[in-house]
Amino acid sequence: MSLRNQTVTTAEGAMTRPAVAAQPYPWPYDGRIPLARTALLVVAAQDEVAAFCPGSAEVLGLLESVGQELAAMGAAIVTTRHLAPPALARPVGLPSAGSAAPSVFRAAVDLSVDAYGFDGFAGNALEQWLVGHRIDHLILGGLWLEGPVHSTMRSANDRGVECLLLRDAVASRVPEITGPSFSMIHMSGGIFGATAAVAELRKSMLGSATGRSEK
Amino acid sequence: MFGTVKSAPYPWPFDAQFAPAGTALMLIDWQVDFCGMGGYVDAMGYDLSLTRAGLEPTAAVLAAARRAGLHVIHTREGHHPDLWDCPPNKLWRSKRIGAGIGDAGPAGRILVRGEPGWQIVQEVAPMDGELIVDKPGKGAFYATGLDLALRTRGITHLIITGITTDVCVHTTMREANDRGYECLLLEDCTGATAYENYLAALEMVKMQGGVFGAVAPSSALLEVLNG
Repeated sequence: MSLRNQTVTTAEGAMTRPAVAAQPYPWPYDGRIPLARTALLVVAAQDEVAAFCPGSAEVLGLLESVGQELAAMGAAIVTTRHLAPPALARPVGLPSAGSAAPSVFRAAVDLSVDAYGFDGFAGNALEQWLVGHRIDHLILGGLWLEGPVHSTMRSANDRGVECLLLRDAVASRVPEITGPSFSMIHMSGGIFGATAAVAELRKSMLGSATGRSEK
Repeated sequence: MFGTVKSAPYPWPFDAQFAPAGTALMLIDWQVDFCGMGGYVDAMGYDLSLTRAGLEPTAAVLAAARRAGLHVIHTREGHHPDLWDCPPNKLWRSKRIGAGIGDAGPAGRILVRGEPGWQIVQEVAPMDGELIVDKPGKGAFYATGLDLALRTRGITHLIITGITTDVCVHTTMREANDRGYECLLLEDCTGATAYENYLAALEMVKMQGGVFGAVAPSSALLEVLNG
């Protein structure tokens, strides 16, 4: 939480970094990455989900490194743990609230929330926390691309949050449709936001720290 | 009371039967600008066949659902004329690809409530008494009264049609599923601008035993409704 105290500043006073070479547009839309208004959102870092998503361990390791780098620059780190929707009688591949294992994300975080469903915003204070901390840019990665990652990105986007998905920091349950899972995000000029490789984000983070976010 | 529909990956609904009073047919964003002759997509010279493909089967399902006494719910994506409900990044992206929200299009201002292009196409036009949900985003539950309307009417089961499969239909089905609604997507009553994404969207519903519900051709539903 001390991280938050350092980084809650006005947008005008915040440090920014150059836009990321993302698809289908340089991210973010407002010109530069406003670090104090940005969070890394790590989705479903859970053993129950990792069990059926090949490559989960590598993805989480990469996100732990990226998280530490972003935190050092003033961005927030948030994790969502996904539980089966209580209102749904069918099993959906998510653990129930009583039996879920703790998050396996090992880097320091500013907020961990439990989501009651695939949507990371379901049944918790994530939206209020982001609004309260003036965070309106999300960099997303995590497990089960077609499940909780997609639902959470769609929900964030409908809320006006500017989203970037890290293509090589997500693990798929259905690797055969990973291409379309990214393509869906790119439709109509970025209908849910943009996607980029971690290397492209890192290039931006090494870029000039001057300048302001431009609308 | 109706029995199960021949759907994949499990016979829908999960709880073996559905009552007309507790079931709604959802028609998502069948709007002129997206699938109508003279609408925006048509005027830009794009192939309308992918988004229009589901229109005729949807009209047949709509007629059967009305006869069977199911609830009927239509949704429309659009913004207030002064665009107060349009997030700035959404507006920016639309202008960047030359389809600016609020700009003049072939059927009025693009994606603005009340304009000709925003209306639902004649083939599946709403009738008096049917709920119409106006939404600012892709999901029909966000920033709308849909969840409250479903609960006050006792609706627990949703049969979903509309466009586009990978965007508004999928987002809405995901939201509904998280809220406990038992969903069936009719595969021939929906379409996407990219066929590969349409197929992947159906696959996502069916993964791991049907995480977002089930998928069926409309013929399987009609068989049940028409007895």
